[in-house]
Amino acid sequence: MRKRKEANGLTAKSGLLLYDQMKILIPPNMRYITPLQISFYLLLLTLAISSGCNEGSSEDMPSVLETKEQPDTASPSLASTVEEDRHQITKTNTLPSRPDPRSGVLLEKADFWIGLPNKTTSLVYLRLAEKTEIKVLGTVEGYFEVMHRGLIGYVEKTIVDVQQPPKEKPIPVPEPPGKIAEEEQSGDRVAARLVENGNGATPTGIAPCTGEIGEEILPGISCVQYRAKVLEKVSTLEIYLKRIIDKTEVNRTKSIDLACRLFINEQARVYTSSLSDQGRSRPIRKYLNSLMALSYDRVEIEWTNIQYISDLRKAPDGRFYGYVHIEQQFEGFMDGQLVYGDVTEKKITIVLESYEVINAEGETGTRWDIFLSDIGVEQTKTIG
Amino acid sequence: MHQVVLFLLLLSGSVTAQSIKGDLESDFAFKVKQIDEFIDRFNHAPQTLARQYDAGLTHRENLHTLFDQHIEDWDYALIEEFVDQIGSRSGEKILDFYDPLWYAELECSFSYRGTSKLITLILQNQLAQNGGSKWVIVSVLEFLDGVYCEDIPQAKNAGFYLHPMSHVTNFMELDRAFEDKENLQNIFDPWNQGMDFLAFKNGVLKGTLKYQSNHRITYHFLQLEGWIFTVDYFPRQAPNAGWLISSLQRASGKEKQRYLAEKLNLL
Repeated sequence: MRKRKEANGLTAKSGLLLYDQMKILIPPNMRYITPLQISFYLLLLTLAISSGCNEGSSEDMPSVLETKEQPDTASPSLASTVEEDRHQITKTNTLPSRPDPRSGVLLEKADFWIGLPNKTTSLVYLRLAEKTEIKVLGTVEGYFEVMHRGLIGYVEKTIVDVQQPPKEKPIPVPEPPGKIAEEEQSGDRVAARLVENGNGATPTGIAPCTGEIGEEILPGISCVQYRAKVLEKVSTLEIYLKRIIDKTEVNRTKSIDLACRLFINEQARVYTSSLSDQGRSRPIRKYLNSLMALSYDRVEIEWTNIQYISDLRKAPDGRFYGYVHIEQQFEGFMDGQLVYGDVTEKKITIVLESYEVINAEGETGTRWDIFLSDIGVEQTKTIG
Repeated sequence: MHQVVLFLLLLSGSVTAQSIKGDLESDFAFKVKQIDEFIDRFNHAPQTLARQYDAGLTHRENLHTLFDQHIEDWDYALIEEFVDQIGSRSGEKILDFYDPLWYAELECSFSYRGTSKLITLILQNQLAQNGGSKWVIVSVLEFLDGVYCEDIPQAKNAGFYLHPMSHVTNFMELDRAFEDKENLQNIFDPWNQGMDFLAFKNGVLKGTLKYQSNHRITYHFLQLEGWIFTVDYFPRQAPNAGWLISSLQRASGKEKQRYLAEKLNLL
């Protein structure tokens, strides 16, 4: 019989184990993203934004990308790499490559900061266990800028054992965009009748986003940019969620306002289902307000598994829809004691919306942005 | 006992504890989290997490893992025949999200004349003129009082509709779509002019039927020549979880017609 470990559920540790195994097992052209790919995507998106690729993103969101841009002067080597890459984009309009980040292992437990620890807006987002593997992106003021599970943050330098960079791998040549084949039904009358039901249209061929470099899912939107933007929005939402739930935070209603701005509109709903009762759905703001009422002294939120980002599908109104599927472990503490914890799967609908802009010279261009929409939250396990 | 037999069957396909690393860590990798993932797994697409987790997973093994192992009365010979047939087409795109002959069956609660009533809706992902697609309600399984010969008005604008990823959040958009009375037609198949369907549409429009929630989704796949199978959601902490095949039957073209008429109230 299939051998199972003692508990029926994922623990943070088992999540780490899985993730570590994945890094070995998963090939680079996978749809599920590894930290290596994520770091690459985020850097490229940063470059794209700085070169005017996407002017639609909100300025006051504490984006993981913003935290990455701060240490320009303190990290000349990183800054010069960025400058070189930017130059390359201007000249060739193609996505530059970047050296693989170095691997590192934590020598002891470490705080994972979102934002540089000396900034007032920074926070300890996670507490990482000893021997956790991370990707080191750069050095800033006694901290390593690191990537962990799709998040960019900071960890004290002294407790990281940095390993040698891996050998450079050849960049795979992207496949031409795939065409969605029209299904042929073998003379089945039923099939023939129902094919006609579809208005005779054929689905728009959106190239599947396999993570290859240079791949475009839609004209002007690379797979890399799409995935990085999705991760940025979802990470930002997680940061707000933590602030909203943490009763030591001073302006939690502001966090609710900012979180709502990540969504396509406030009609977006959150459907929650637990192991014990029937699910229910609420508008996003109402849901966030209910989270604020929970009030714990301390909250730990961790993505316990790698996330799945789907391809995009076109809707009749021209918008494109996708989703991201993540598993999250939540723990709430009161007086230092764990009072509630659970593991949930979150299915977050993604909307890609493009819009026309006119610059000072009167030239029009198309911009795009990713917004979050309906969320399904399914509880899979309770902790404590 | 049957579970043991099915498990032995899986062993024969080399889906052993070792090959799928049957520890808790594999649960997320093997759980079929979305119907899109089911389609990819069925096609043995290389980008699925299951294949990336276990590089040696064969198409036959992948197909076996898509059957609910907790069902006790499987016809194992039939499963083998099915797996053999599909496995022989490995490398092809066998199922496609844009296939016409697959449907979602939603068991919903409506408030009807002051009481709660279970009504089952059948939805299909249909293509739009712009090459996009959306989910639409193509039929209703319950008969309601009243004789209606007239359809509801055309939608005034795009309004609410069920976008092509609505299934990811279990069609929770139905909430809003049923309230957008001006554009109600957006969520219905205009080709179905059956009396029961018109009665349902008019009931929603006039407010005698009020949508409350949906509880259960079953997908019906009829696009494979000679076969019909259904997929249900099995929420459990195990690798064999999520959207899995819950029934399988051989079906000729005529039997499919009968299935569409009797089970899905179509045709």
